[in-house]
Amino acid sequence: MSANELFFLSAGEASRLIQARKLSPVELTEAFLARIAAIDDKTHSYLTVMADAALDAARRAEKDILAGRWKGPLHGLPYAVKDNYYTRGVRTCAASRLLLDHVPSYNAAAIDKLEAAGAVLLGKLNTWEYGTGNGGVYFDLPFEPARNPWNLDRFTGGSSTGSGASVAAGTAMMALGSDTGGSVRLPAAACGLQGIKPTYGRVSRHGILPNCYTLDVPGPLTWTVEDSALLLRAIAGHDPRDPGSARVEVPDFLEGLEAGVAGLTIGVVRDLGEANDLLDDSNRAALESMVDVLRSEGAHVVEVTLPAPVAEYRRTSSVINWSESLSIHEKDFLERNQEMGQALREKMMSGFMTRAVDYVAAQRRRRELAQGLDALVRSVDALVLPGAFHVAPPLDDPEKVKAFTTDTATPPFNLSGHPGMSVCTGFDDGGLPTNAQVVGRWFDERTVLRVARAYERATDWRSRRPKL
Amino acid sequence: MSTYQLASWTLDEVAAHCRRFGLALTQPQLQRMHELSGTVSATGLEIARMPSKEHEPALTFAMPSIR
Repeated sequence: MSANELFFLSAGEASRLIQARKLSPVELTEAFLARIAAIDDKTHSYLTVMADAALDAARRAEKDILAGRWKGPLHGLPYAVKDNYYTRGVRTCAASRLLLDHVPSYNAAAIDKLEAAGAVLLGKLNTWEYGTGNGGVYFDLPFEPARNPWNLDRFTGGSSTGSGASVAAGTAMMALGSDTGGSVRLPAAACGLQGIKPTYGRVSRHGILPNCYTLDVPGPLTWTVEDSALLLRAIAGHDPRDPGSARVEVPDFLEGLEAGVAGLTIGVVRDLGEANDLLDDSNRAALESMVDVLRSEGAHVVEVTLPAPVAEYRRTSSVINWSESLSIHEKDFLERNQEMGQALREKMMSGFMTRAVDYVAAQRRRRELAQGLDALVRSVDALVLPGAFHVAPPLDDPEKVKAFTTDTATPPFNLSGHPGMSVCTGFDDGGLPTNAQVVGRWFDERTVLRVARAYERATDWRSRRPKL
Repeated sequence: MSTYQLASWTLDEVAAHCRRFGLALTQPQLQRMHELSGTVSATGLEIARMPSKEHEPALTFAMPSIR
C-alpha cells in the first residue's frame, strides 16, 4: 500500500486492516508524519506536531497488537486534537499569545480515554484564539491561520480550523474539535467532512479550555460517518469533573449504523425565516438532493418548520455567549487585551457591554426555545436542514468570512443541546464542499449517525479528495 | 422583547465605562467598542422578557432528563 493510500484510509478501514495484522500502526503513523512534513506548511493545520511521542505510542500499539493485546477499533490509529484540549507535558496555547508558555500537567478527559483505547496522538491543531472570536479572521495571531485543503485561498470554517483542515488534507485520520455555536460543524462543512456535535453533556469537557460553559460541546470531525461513531463511542461518558456532564448510558454508536432510513420519518426544514435568502444556491440544491436520496432510501419525508426564526436562536445564543465568555476572560481582557487578537478582543467588548438582566432573560428564553425544538424533534425521527449557508469563502475577505460564520443554522442546537451533524452533500461548480445538517433527539446520536450514514452510503462524495 | 427604550451609549460614556474598570484601549478600539455597544444593547433588548414575576426565571440552564 502506497503512502498516499495510507493517509487517505478511513479510520474504519485502517482499523480493520490493523486488527487483521495487514497494516502496521508504526507504518501508518510514519505515513501521517511524512504527510504533515510535506504539506502542512500549506494548510497550517498543526500548531504542535508530537512526532516522537506519536511514534513511541505507535510502537507500543504495534507491540501490544502483535502480542495479542488488541484494545479495540482505535488501537494504533492516528488522531489529532484542537489546541484547546489539555495535553500533559505538551504546550496547550489555543493559538493565543496569552498562553504561549502554558504546559498542562494533565490530559483532557477525552485524550485520556483515547490513550486508554490505544489511539496515537499526532499533535495539536490550529484554532481561533481560545476557540472563539467575533467570526472574523485578522491574521494577527502568533500562528498562520489554517487554510482549506480544497482551495488554499479559502477559509476552513471556525473555530476548529485545524481539525477541519487536517482530516481533509490527510494530515490526521480523525480529529477532535469543540462546538459552541457551530465550531465542529462549520469546519466540517467548509472542508467536506462529517462532524458531529453530540448532545450537551454527552462528552466530558474536563481539561478543555472553556469558551462558553453552558453551550460548549466537544466532538469529532472525520472523513466518514463510521469514523465519527468510532471516535464518539470512545470519548463519550459521564464525568463528575464536568458539572455539565450527563449521567446517561453510552450506547454502541456503531450498532444500527447500517440500518438505513426505511421507515424513519425525516422532517426537512426549508423555511428559515428571514435567513431564507442567505442560503447559497449550491447548498440549497444539495439539500434538496439529499432529501431526494433519503426518500429514495425509504424515509418518509415531511416538511416542518422551526418553532422560532433562526435569527432568534442566534440572538439568544449571542447574549449568553458574550457574557459567559467574558466571565472566563475578564482578567485578561482588563489587563492584557492588547495581547489578544482582534477577534477575541471584540467578543470581550461585546460581553463588557452586555447587561446581566439580558443574560438572565436569554437563559429563560433558551429553555422555552429548547422545549419548542424538542417537541419538533420528537415529532419525527430526525431533522434535516441547512448547516452552513455558504461554501468556504476567500480567507482574505473579512466580510465573507464573517458571513460564513454567522449565516448558519447551527446555534439553535447548542442552545437546545440536541445532537447535530454536518454532512458533506457534494461540491459546487468550483469544487468546494456543500453541506447539510442532521439533528436528532437528546442523546439519540445513533439515529443522527444512522441517517447520515444512509445518505453517505447512497452517494459517492467520499471518493473525492483534495489535491495538494 | 423589552418594553422600554434604552438610550444609545455615547463615545464618552463608553470611555468612562472602560475607565471605571481600568480597561485601556486604543482610540480605534474604543470607537469599535462604541459601534458594538449599539448592537449589544439592541440584541439584549430583543430577548423576550418574563411575562410575569411568577414565571420561572431560568437562572441557569440544566439539561432536562430523558423522558
